[in-house]
Amino acid sequence: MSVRIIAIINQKGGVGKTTTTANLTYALAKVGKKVTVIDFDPQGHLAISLGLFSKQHVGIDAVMLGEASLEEVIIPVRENLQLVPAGTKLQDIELLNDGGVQRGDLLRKALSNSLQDQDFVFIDCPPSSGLLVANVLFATEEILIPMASDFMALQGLSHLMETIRKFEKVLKKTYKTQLVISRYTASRRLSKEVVAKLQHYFPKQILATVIRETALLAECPSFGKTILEYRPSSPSARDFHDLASDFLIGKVM
Amino acid sequence: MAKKNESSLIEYDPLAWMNTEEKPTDVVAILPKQAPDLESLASDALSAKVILQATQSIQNVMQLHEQLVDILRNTSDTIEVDASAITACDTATMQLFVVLKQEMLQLERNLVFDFPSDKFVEAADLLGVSSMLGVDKSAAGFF
Repeated sequence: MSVRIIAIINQKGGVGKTTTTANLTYALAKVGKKVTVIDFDPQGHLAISLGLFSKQHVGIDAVMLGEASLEEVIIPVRENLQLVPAGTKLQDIELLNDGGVQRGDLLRKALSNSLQDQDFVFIDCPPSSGLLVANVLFATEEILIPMASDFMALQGLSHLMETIRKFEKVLKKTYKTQLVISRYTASRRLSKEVVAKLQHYFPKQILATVIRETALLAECPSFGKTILEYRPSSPSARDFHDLASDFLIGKVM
Repeated sequence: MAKKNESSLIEYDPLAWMNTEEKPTDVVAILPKQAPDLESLASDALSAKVILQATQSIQNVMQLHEQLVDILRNTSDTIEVDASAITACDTATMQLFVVLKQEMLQLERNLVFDFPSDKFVEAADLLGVSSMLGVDKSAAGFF
């Protein structure tokens, strides 16, 4: 079976993309899945979340620009989990104007016929809808959308879905799209209403476990640890453990 | 526009368009054919889409103007201009978009250019209005 490439995408910031990527991928690696995660946000926050505090790594930027091979830039970060850092030139790629449509195909080419020994490749997308996201949509067949349970996240999702539909039409493919509810506050009625709204528009596409908003999740990146390492017995660690299980077996709301 | 449940905390539903197949907006009009039939345009339409054909020039700018005015009257929120097919766009058309953008800003509405072609971006750059129009170079030329 070939490797599954999944984009963790939402052009709205603060919805939990990097938190979801770091913790979900580690939870998958922990149950024995071979996972590669690509930090595709020029801010490099995923690498920091996984304990790489230096920004001087050569990364996916160099691979896309033909200056390095994927194998050269991969960094093992945990057992079964390896990271491809963003690299300092990723920001420049976002601003590329030359190269026509081909400049949207750099990531797909960089990943083609690579990482075949992996079960999953996850791409942590930047909070934008420019060239980097276009590259991701060229390269992937699967999308996982972290959704905060507030109104502005719904507005952002609407914009994202329009973009996705356009790419589907032009690239003549249909993405397997799933959502994960992040930053959920059970005590807020609005959170419940947002989830209900999402269930209406995305039936059987929302992973069953919601990720609750907790202070611990905000704390662990500064220690370079996932929540499953930082507080393994916390409710948040359990959330991500369950989410990984949902992802593997396809358990949805 | 999605209806509000009396006790709901969500008044406006940004995802309501997803109930319609394929079309992310309420109206699609093709230019520069005959003036489009806008009777079907719902009075509470949240957004409208204009798809520009390859050549936009002074010869068809009046028609575009009329159509945009009609849409502006009937649309409450956003006009999306699909400029992906543009191979030539003259100053008159750009000026029209600049005026429309200013009008939309005053009305607190949005004018959005979706995946403009390289030629469209080039024309906007040449006239120094790409920033004002919010034309996104990095997403240009894909479609």
